[in-house]
Amino acid sequence: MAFKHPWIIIKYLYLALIVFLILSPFIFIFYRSVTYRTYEGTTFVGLKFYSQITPAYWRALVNSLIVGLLVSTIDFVVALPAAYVLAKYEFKFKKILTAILVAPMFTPDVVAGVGLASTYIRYYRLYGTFIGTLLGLASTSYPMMLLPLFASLRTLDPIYEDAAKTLGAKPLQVLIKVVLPLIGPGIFSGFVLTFVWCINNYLLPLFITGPAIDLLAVKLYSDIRWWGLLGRVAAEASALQIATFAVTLLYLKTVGRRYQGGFAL
Amino acid sequence: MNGVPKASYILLVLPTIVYLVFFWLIPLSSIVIISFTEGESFILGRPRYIGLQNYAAVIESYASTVRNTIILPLSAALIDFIAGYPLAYLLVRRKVLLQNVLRASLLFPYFGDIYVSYGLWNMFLPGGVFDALYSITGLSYIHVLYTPYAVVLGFSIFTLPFMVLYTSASLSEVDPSIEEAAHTLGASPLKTFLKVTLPLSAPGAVSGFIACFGWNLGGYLIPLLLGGVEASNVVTVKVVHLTLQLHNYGLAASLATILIAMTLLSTYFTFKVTKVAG
Repeated sequence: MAFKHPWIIIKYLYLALIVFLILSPFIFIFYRSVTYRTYEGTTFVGLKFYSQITPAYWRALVNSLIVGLLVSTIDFVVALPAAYVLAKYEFKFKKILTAILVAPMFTPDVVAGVGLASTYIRYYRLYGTFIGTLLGLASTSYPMMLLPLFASLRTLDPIYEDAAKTLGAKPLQVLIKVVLPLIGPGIFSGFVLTFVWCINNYLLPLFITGPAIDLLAVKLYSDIRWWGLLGRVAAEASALQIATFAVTLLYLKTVGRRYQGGFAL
Repeated sequence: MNGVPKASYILLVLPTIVYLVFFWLIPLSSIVIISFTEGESFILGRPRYIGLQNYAAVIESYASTVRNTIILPLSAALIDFIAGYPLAYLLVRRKVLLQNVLRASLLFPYFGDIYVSYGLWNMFLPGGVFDALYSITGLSYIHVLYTPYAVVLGFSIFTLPFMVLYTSASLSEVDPSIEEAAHTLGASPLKTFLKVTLPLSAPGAVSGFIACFGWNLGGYLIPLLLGGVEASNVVTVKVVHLTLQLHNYGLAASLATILIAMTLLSTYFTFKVTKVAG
């Protein structure tokens, strides 16, 4: 027993170091946003920096939330049938198809941004439009919706669908009344993962949205580059962070860790 | 199954295929095409093809960029392996106090590199968290910030959850009774770990390593804010600079093509290793 003590101390020191390294950037940004120093060196706590955020930024936050929701919806509509097929049927080339459908997640945002920007300008005429922004963001975040849906559909027992069919339900009825309620947690985690990724993405909108639509992450990115250490920038970052954190907390409280489809722990 | 005709599930996958072809495959292949054209000519509608000149320019003046893009994520992946493997082992095999807090805190880097980079930048500068450390060691922030070490630290914090995720998935598939058998047959705990647990969980660790590498290939704001002049010399930063500031899409696309090739390779190896494990 006496031999075990140093190991336990080392173990918890190591865990504390990991947690410190992961959490401290977030906590420190928040700390910067709620404290300010006078020239004499005394530190005050207050929401001074938050009151400096102009209305344009709050509108941008609302825009970001709307874009996040719409992108998640597009992803859901496109990914649900594909996830159903991948989970329920066996066919040739299934592994290759899965690999191709997951590949957009591994594409660096910069690459996707340059590619989408040039095709939008040259072929689709979607550059700087709202629809173009939605479709571009949705294509790169597609696997984050697909994988949780796939994970929850695979564990769904087919007996419920069969029972509904035997009792005379039409396919659409089976989908709406039986399948969707049963995979609710999977749908929710897909929405949260896509939403969080989407409202924090600055690179893709930087390339494809242009100046027409304000998104908070893009404004935050350019503010970080222009104003850097200003307290107001820390307050903006914290505002976006708190919005993200609230969504994630909601997610953890309602769904837990079961249906994350191999994304988070 | 269930007598569903083949046509019906092709129909179900069709929206996905069409969507990804138009908004993922065509953009990515157009990058490859742009890399053979001059400057902005492709975007303006009259592409002038100049063969491999862009690639020659990359070899001539961006060799150090490509080298940095490989070395920085590789060292970050190595640190992730060293820091993440014990964490995964503790989470799967041992009881840890506040386990839920630990798991929840691993979610944070998913919020985006914008916070990791901006937070670390704030912390390293004077007036940040490390002031006490600076005064003890006699260093100043110049010795840490704007060096490759800061970038590697940022990268490894950003991708640590992936490492833990992949490794713990493969560790939890290792049957504890195999370890017990080794122990009963007289192997010491260290020997059991080295000869039994580590080889059996190797596929997860390797795919985690490759995934960390692949994710950090696309890291942009972390090298930009923490890297200074020397270490921010990576492909992503150069591509953004070349497109948004200099409008030299041809050269940017040839750099991006190299990035695509590296990402595809690492993704391919991740899948291959995972398949071996499964």
